[in-house]
Amino acid sequence: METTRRRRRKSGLQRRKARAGRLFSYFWLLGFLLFVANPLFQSLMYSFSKVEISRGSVRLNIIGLENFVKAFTADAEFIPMLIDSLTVIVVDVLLVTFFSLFVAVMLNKKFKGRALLRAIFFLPVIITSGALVYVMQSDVSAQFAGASGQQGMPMLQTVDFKSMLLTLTNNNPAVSVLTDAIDRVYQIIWKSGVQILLFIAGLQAISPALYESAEVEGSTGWESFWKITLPMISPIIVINLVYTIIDSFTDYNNELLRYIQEMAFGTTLDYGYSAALAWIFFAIICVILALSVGILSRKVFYMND
Amino acid sequence: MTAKLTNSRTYKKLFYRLFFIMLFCGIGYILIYPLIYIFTTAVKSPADMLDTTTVWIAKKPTYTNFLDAWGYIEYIKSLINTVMIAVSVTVLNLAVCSTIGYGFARFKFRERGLIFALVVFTIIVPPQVIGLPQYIYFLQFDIFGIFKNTLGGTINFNNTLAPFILPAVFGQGLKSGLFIYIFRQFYRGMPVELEEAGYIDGCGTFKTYLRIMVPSATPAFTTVGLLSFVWHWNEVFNQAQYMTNNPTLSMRLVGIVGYITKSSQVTDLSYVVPTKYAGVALVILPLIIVYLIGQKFFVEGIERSGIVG
Repeated sequence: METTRRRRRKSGLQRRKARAGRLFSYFWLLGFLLFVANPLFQSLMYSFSKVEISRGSVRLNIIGLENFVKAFTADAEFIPMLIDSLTVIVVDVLLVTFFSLFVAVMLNKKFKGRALLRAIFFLPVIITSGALVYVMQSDVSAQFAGASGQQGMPMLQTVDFKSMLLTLTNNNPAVSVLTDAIDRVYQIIWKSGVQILLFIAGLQAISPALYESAEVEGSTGWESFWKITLPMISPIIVINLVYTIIDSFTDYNNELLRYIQEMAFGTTLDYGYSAALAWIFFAIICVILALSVGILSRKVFYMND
Repeated sequence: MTAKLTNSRTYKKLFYRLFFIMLFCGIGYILIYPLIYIFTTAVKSPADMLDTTTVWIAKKPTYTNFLDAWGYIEYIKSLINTVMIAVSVTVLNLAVCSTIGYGFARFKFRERGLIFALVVFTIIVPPQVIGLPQYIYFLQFDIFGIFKNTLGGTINFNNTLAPFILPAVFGQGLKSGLFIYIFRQFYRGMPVELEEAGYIDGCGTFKTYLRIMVPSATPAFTTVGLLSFVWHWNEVFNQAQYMTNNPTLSMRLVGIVGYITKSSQVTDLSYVVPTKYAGVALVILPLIIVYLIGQKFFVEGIERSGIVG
């Protein structure tokens, strides 16, 4: 009698908590149905059709899987671009995560000039977002394209350094390997802005009491990092991983995304084919995300579970 | 012997410190380089642009670039629009995404995983992909045909803030899914004892959340607030789509080269490039000022919240 009542009371509390959780997330779901579901469905329909756009109205001619077949069989550019994007991402995710965690741990220490240094590390968040990237890229690349032969944001690359080295060594191919590696470093630093910010926030949410008690027990800073910082920050590692993957896929510099956009708004105006490419792309990102989060979340430490 | 030991230890410490100073100076230089480039180019006159001996500091600096850029951008009008979008959406994001993220972090129910997978999915979708259908949707806005039946027509939201605010109210704005994810990760990392104390003291679910969880999550709030503000400040795709006759800073910045060459019939790069960078400087200056003023507050707010656990 006693046990059944206790169980019922417990399940009552659980049910109440479930109800609160449903309230929060169903609110989101309502918004999703109102604003996103319909455009998303439309875009999916586009991918199965030939789209004709005329002043404010859109007409669809359903053609089945033709767009998808075209992407994998007839389009010579799509598959190489896709493979290119995928390899870049694997390298980026690893390097960005390590680099940003390192910088965040450093910036979380108390030292003179910390405020200034944090402000400097906030700059990439401002400069690499939206309009600024677009504007700076459009002219500087036109100016420098001839000199460096490279696309992208030359301000962030080793332009003058590279041309100098090449003239000094008489176009030695080994030099370009070296400078490419350096370019990679530049890009990693520029791509880590948001991740550093998130890591700093995560580090600050760790209770100082944990470190104090560890110190009393005689643990070194190195041990504290592995036993306290890393487990406590692991939820933020997951979100940074997800962000980095998504960021490099939706980045302005991503040539595949630009290709997709070009298909829709450029000279071809093939909105249906563009939508089909986008959906193939999504499907692949989803699989990658699910795999990496699935592997990582076994190692993640949440204080309550 | 012991003296020697401590000596080597201080050397080691000194070496480490030197190493980190050098490292951070190098990284700092890479990060600050574009900023120096923007501001030094912005004051250059055409003569400086053509002079090959002028690298950084203009020999004949001019402020007229800023006046021209100010005019092209329609600065005050654009600034007001941009501030309205960035502030309103950021406030909504903080209020709504944190609550939704809390719901995903703390409450167990069967369909939680499925709905959360949908949230993550909305982050992946770039705005360009659902752009066209969403544009048509806001041009003829209607909820299940209600407006058509009661008002006798649909609502045109073009040139209003509604396409930015309405989705944000439901946590569907630009990158809102990411913010929900960030809040969820933070709340999940917090000790459950915090809330239990609230429940024991007789607080309800909402009161416990507002009084206990929100103050403990200050780092998450400042980070999300910062990101949301900057991203809406610089966002261009949606703004260009919905604010066709109502300029914003980022829209005008993207089109600035076109404006300069069209309105003044000048295609001389030695004039166009500095004026463009003057425009860039005008757009990011408010962001930098807000960050520098807010920094002290952010750091303090963050450090005060270190009572977690």
